[in-house]
Amino acid sequence: MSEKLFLIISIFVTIFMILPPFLINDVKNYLYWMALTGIYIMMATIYLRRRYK
Amino acid sequence: MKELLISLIIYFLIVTFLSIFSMKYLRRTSEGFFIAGREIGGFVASLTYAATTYSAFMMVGLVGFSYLTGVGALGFELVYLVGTIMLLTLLGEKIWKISREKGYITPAEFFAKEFGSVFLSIFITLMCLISLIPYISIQFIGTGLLLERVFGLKFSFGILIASIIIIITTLTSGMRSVAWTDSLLGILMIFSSLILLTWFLNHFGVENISSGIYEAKDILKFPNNFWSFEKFIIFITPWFFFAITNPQVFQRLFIPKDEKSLRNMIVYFSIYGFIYTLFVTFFGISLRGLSEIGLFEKISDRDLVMPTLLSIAPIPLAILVILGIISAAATTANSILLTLSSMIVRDFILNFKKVRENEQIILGRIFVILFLPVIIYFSFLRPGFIVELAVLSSTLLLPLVPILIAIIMDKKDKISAILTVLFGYILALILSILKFKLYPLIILILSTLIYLISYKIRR
Repeated sequence: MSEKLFLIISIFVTIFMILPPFLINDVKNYLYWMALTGIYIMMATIYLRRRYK
Repeated sequence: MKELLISLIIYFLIVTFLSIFSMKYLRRTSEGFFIAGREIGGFVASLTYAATTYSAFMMVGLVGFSYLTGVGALGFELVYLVGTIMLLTLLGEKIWKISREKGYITPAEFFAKEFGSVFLSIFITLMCLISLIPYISIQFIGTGLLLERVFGLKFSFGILIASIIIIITTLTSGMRSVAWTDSLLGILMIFSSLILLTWFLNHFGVENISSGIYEAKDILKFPNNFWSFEKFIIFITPWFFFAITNPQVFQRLFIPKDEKSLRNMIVYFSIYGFIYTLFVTFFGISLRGLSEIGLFEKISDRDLVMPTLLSIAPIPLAILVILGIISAAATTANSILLTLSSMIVRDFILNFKKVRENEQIILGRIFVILFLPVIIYFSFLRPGFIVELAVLSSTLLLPLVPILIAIIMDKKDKISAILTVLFGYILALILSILKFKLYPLIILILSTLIYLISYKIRR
């Protein structure tokens, strides 16, 4: 994963953390936030592990 | 009461022993004292980062905030976590490399020397000093409220306890003793909240908790009565950039001993932060549900939610959690005080007077002692709720974002940086006082525009 790709992913994750909960307005928003954050942490870990072996 | 005193004495003995032991490894230079000689491994670096960033704000402030506002509080704190991971992952290595290659010790030194401006060094130091007083004071307020509510002790007793820990950990060997005690106390913070969670589920029962949450449906809704789009943006904007605006966490990017340690610091912190956030918000949301079905007292002062829960918990457990929260408060306050004192010595005094390395350490210790009465006084005023005070501190530091990005992108210009910080800070003060619509976002956008326009004109 290149730095640019990770930056693009990060921007999308940030937008998805903020906007959809307002549009969906569902009681399960908390699951959505938790899942998205969990996936992002995994991606950041993979990116960092590949970058600094 | 007797149990609390015995536990506090044991706690003090352990913290003192660890702090004094760390002196064995102290290199008597300003680099050795203020940033542990850049020799900290990934595991300790991650725990000191976590203990510094997660303060009394979490177990006292955020529990109450989740109780009042529901699941939006989880979203707000997770946006902070995503922002921090993103900034550390993308900018951490660059900041770490610059600070190492050029020998920077303090955040203000980092900005000032990159732009070649003495003014920036002095102004950023003063800016951090003013902005962080509310943030340090919430650590004392949190400790005071806990001991007052759970054990009926005076508010001032909690403040005294927090002050003693801060003095022990910062005055011995600076960053090294702070990092070591932070690591131990960071483990205590998450371990105590895990045990509390186990007792909590057993005591109230999973069925009661889930039926309570569904009874109070509004707390699971987002947006709801409290959360609107505007309010969410106001809360998350300063919090998203916390990792690069708050000097106590920014300075922690200087301490890992190599790139692998930096990587491990980010990865371990992310996992810690995720788990801790879920625990904390779960307590707040569940307690609100339990209040709705009459199994837990209804509380109007939200900063008293966790203290009230602990007042009904078994005493040994309450003491363990209180020690965890006191640790969270003290580890944040001591890190901020150490960072601020390093900035006063290196970015303020050194601009006017030559000071030898060992004298810098002495001055660093003196300033920690001098700051304490000011913060204690501010804590007694109890100027607002914990979460709002924390957000205010970070909002005032937002003008630092565009100038850091300019350094990373190598688009540096001294005058543009001075104009951005000066006008950005004045703007931040005015808009925060006026509570202008979407003010943190406006502060960030206007500060960025000031830099961009000035940079374009001067090029």
